[in-house]
Amino acid sequence: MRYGTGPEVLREVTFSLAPGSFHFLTGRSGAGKSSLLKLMYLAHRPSRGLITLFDEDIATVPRKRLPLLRRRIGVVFQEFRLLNHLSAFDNVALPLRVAGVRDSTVRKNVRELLHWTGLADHMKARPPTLSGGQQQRVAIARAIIAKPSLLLADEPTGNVDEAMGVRLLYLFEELNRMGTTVVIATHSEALISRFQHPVLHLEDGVLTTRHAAAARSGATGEAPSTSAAGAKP
Amino acid sequence: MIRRRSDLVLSREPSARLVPWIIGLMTYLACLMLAGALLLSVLLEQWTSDMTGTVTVQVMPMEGESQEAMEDRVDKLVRLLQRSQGVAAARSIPLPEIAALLEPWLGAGAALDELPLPRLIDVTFDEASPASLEVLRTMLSNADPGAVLDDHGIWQEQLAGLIGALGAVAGFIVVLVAVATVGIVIFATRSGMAAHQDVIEVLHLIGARDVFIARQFQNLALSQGFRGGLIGIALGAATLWSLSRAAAHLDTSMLPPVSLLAWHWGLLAALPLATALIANWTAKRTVVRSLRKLV
Repeated sequence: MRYGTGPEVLREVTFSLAPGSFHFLTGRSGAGKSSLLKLMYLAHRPSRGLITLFDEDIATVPRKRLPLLRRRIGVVFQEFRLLNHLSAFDNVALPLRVAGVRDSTVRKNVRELLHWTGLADHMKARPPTLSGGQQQRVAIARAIIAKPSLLLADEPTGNVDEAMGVRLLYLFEELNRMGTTVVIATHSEALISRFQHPVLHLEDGVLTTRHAAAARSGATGEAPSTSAAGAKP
Repeated sequence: MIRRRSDLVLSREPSARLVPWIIGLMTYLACLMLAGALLLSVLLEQWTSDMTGTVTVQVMPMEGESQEAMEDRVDKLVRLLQRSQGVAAARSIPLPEIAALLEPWLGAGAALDELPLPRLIDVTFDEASPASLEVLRTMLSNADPGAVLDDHGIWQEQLAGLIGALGAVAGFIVVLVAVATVGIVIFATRSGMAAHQDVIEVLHLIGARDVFIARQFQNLALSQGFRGGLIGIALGAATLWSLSRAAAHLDTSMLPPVSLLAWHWGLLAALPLATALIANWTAKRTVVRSLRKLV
């Protein structure tokens, strides 16, 4: 993976994620975490290598089908990327509206989720009027509203205190228990040691896998559902 | 609160307010050109239908011929024409009428008696089976070498040519105006996309199809196009109305009264529909084409 004619940002990255697994993604700033996530949420195509997502080869999937794949991926962006002119409610509803879900269903599901994430009193608030933690919860709610098969989060605990970070992690674990594959990019060793999930570690564009003591599933073999990025020099 | 689902996503930009006015001016031009072209077509139609079915026979005076002898020749020709197949009526135009026709050039009270004026015979064809011009022409020149048939053909052809050219110019301008409108909408849509780059990216990444994103811009373009069209035909209607008021004050002997037909008005009234559809289509094409660059 490279940008333009620059050096390869990701070089030796071979891994596969079992469906229902939970991984942390670590690495210093600039190690390529965001680039790897971008490949996984289909913002970029790899300059070489193979990505298989939901059993489809990304290189050969017709462009027309990509939106359908993207709808199965929930993303919590590092800088949230909420739409500031829309209310919290409309922001969370966006993935459903984009997918053409009926309005009555949209209203019901979004209201439910906002209650669940403790944002019931802020449904009509626009993101700029919310605190950082509240914006983050809106972003997370938007990522999970469509019940994605794969949840990718880029530093989701970056803007909140530790207690909040832990609560968010519990939220992600809950989702994971319901079957969603989760990958969380983070710097926080505290969270990693606390939650004991396997760690994908990126260094200089090379990926290594570190199994936590209590790892439930590894990153092995052929991918049943979600696998990403193979590129050998 | 009832909102269209697709109105949700874009915030309104202030610069978008200008677009309907520019489209309005374009529509105004198109409206006037179209009205002009339609009026010309009505005019041509009227003149042609007035003139087909009639011909004029000119009878040239001979050297040294007396009034009476000339009068005899004309009478003979009139009777000949009246007997001919396919002629409904033939009437010699009396001298005072000819004098009236010539008055603008010769002035009132000219001594017409002393001038060797040609006489005119007005011939109206039988509508059911009109006489052949060729047959009539040979018959007349056999009967009287001084008789010349004028079927207004050359004049009519030239007039039709002129009006056709004017109509083509008007049509060309309408096309140019449409092209310019497309250009305006492309420009506006592109700047709207640039202003909403972040929104477009987020929509794209959460799985919006290109047509969904395009629809956001189409809705805006549709309403801009329609409002622009309304501004244009409002200005156009005001202009046409004041022109027709001014024309009513003119001496109408020079110009036959011409007015647009009902379907012409309908066509002009449909202009906002056309601009709305053009804007909608253009916005869609612009957005979809530009989104294809994304993964």
